[in-house]
Amino acid sequence: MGYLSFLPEMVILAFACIILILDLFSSKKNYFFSLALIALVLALVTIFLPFSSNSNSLITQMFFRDSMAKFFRVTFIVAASLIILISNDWARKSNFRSEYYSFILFATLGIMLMASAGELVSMYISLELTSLSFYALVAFSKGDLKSSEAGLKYLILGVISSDVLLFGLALIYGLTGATRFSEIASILPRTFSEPAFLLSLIFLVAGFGFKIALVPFHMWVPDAYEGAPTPVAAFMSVGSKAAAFAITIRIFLGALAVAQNFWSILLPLLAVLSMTLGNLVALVQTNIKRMLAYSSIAQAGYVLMGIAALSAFGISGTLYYLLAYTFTNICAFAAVTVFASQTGSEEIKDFAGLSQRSPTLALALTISLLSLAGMPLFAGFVAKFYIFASVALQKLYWLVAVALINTAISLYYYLMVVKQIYIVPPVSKEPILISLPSRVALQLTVFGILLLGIYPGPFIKTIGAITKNLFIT
Amino acid sequence: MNFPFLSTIILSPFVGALIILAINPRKKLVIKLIALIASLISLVCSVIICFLYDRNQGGFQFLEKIVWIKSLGISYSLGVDGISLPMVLLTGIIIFTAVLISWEIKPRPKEFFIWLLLLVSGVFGVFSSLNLFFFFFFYELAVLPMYLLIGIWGSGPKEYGALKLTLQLLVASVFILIGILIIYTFSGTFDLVALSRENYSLGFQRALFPLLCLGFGVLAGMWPLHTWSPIGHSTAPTAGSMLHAGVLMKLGAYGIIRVAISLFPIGAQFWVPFVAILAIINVVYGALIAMAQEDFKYVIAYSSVSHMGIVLLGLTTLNSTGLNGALFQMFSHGIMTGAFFALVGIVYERSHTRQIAEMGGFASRMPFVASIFVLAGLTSLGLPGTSGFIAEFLVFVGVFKEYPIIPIFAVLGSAITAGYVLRVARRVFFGPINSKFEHLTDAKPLEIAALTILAFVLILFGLFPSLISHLINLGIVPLITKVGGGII
Repeated sequence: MGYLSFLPEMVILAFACIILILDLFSSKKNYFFSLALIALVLALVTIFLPFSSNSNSLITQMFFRDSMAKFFRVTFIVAASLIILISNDWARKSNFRSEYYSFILFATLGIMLMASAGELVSMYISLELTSLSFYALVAFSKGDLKSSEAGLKYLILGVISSDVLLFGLALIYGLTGATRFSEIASILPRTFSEPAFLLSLIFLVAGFGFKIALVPFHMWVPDAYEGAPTPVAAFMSVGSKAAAFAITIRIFLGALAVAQNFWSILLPLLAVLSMTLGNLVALVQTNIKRMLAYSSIAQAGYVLMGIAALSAFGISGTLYYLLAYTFTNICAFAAVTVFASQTGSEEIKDFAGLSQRSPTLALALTISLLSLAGMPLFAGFVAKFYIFASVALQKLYWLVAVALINTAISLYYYLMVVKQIYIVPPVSKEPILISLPSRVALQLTVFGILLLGIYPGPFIKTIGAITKNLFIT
Repeated sequence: MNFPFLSTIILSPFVGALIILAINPRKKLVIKLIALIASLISLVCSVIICFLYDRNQGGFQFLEKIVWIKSLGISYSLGVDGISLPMVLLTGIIIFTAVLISWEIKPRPKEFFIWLLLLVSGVFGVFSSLNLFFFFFFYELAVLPMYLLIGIWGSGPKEYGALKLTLQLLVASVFILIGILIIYTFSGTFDLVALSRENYSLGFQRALFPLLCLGFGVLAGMWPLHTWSPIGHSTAPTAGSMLHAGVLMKLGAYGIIRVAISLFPIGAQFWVPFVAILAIINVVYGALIAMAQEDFKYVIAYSSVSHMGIVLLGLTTLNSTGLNGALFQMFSHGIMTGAFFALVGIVYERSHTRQIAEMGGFASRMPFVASIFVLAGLTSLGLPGTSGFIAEFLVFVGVFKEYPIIPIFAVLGSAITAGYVLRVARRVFFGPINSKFEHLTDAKPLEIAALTILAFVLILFGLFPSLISHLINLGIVPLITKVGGGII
């Protein structure tokens, strides 16, 4: 029966393969979009079926089937569905539609497995599945030099970071002889004094830092986001980032919890570096995708604060923030996708007068940017408040102060875009049309942002129940 | 008594904004009517609760509570007492008149009213929240829409003014949020009523008071952090200036009294002399700069800085007279400056200039506008019989009890105010008229309605201050007991 709990993953895998095979036989390519959506909806349904919940067979010693895994799996499927919805406009012009959708499904599979991995090998394999899918996706605009360059950069740096991570994992295995997180945690205290252990910690932080896009491991982010097709950049910024956070929580607060004193110093430091550098560099960007890339680096810094708080409260904050961020960032990228596909521009100055060319698009983009800035009514406000409160409860007031000052700085560049949208008069009056799938995606994400911002109670309750059992001190 | 008056007051503009959002922008009249009705509902409800408030009982009334996020101790809890009730009423009057004044707003009336109503929901929310989370939630909501209101519908260097105002206020709110989170860490709750019952240590109070006072002080226009105010208020559209100078600056003063003073009375006692020095600089400096302005709107903007100084000065006395005066001044100045900005807007719309040197003799073309301006001006300089007199008198008496020297400057500030108000009134409205302004017309019916309401309130509370001073005193008494208790 244990295999049945992987039904959602199996559905996605099956559809990913079916799409690839069907492509060989059919000349029409319109239905891959629907097929990918059907796969995700089916997967979402099967997650909630009773037999796919907790079980303890052999395979689940490799993968957790706990409520946190469920939280992330559901979030990822929803995120992937939204990404598929906003991909339609873009993918229609591509000759490799089937490959695109199946890669998106493979990446979804990868991040779902990552978030539930329970030991080192399964974790690494699912991480590689994710990375490989994204290497291909980033370089997907074949004729576009920028896209190819971004893909190559991402590939080289990504492979190096995977190696660093693998080395760290190998050291841990060498020291403990175990791959399962729970076993590592019980064996670890005996090997504290080994210098190799400290080395492995550094490698792990660097490896995950790359995947999460923390400063100073962030160099690839702006180029990759700028070059990648916009929906792919959106998926990277929410999907692979959140999955890497999930695995970080599991490894550092699960397997390495006993070594807290060794790594807990690093987290506030990385958080401060990420948000400060991310925000300061975002100030001077003229391309909206690069701006969003730096903003996502800064956002990763805020999320990391929740882990740095080292409390169940902090982890709930992290999860809530990731959920809020998923909707918010997809909304922003969706708006950029629609805009870019119609005007062919991603420059911030070309957003001038958007409110008169498409009020819906203008409002959606504004809402997402204000939510990223942490303004009330929107998800970002509650998420920031939650995380900052958890950090304040640990008496890390200086960290809260730095984060809040950063929030104020970030407001400037978000407002600069809002200024273009609403205040600066438009260059061309030509209206911007939003296709149906994109419109649905925008509406869903805006709804999510408002729901999480105005009525967060039920979500926080659910997340609180998830993290209550998770935390080991 | 179970009707949720406060929620109605807060949500009515918000719902109005949502309805307007769904309406075709070409149906301008419908949009305006909805905005008017939404603000009228809030106004009527706030008048009703002023009458229904049980003055024998005092304390927080019209309580509403819905648990919002249980694990964080956050609940949507509302309630008003003698301190917040006049502020709710003030907001109701100002938003209703601001909608009337903005009837002819161009361009894009739809968006204008959405942002305006959203902002006002936030203001109502701050004045009636009894939970620090929602207090801050509404506070941010009240600050942000101003960016677009100024940026789109403003005049002059509007983008600069909008950005300066927004960033300065939001950076200040960083201090407030840090303060709120520290309070939460120590007491584990966001509930204002529960928090005000706690006894904090001396060191904690002394550390937290300046943090919060600084954070709120920026919005209250405290010198030297007031610099957003003149540029922001003079670039804003008329309704925006009315709301911002009339109501939003009061949010700052309200935050100081509601959070900083009432939670940390002992800390306040230590710090108020320093705040008093800043406040007196506000009064005198603001008045002197107003005297030197050549731009009509800047005069009014700087007069707000000066008058908010009197509010802050009253707060620093921490005695009953001074606090009563401060709150009375908050109400009186709100109405008065609302009227001022409405008048400046009307004059500017017709003459297309704000340079005082070019104006003159306008009273012969717009007698109604001129007479209301003179009325507001007399309130501003504190003429007996107007509400400004009562407010300033109480503050001065309060200050005399507490500080040496400072009262001298305070009265001096009042004298300078008389100087610039009368000077501006003479140069704009009296004397010979410039031939290019022959065509000027007086206020239109809706503008007359708005100005009449404001003038009526000014005179009413000038002649019968007890209508509201009793209410204010009810809110002050518990505070004074706390401060007094602190001394022992």
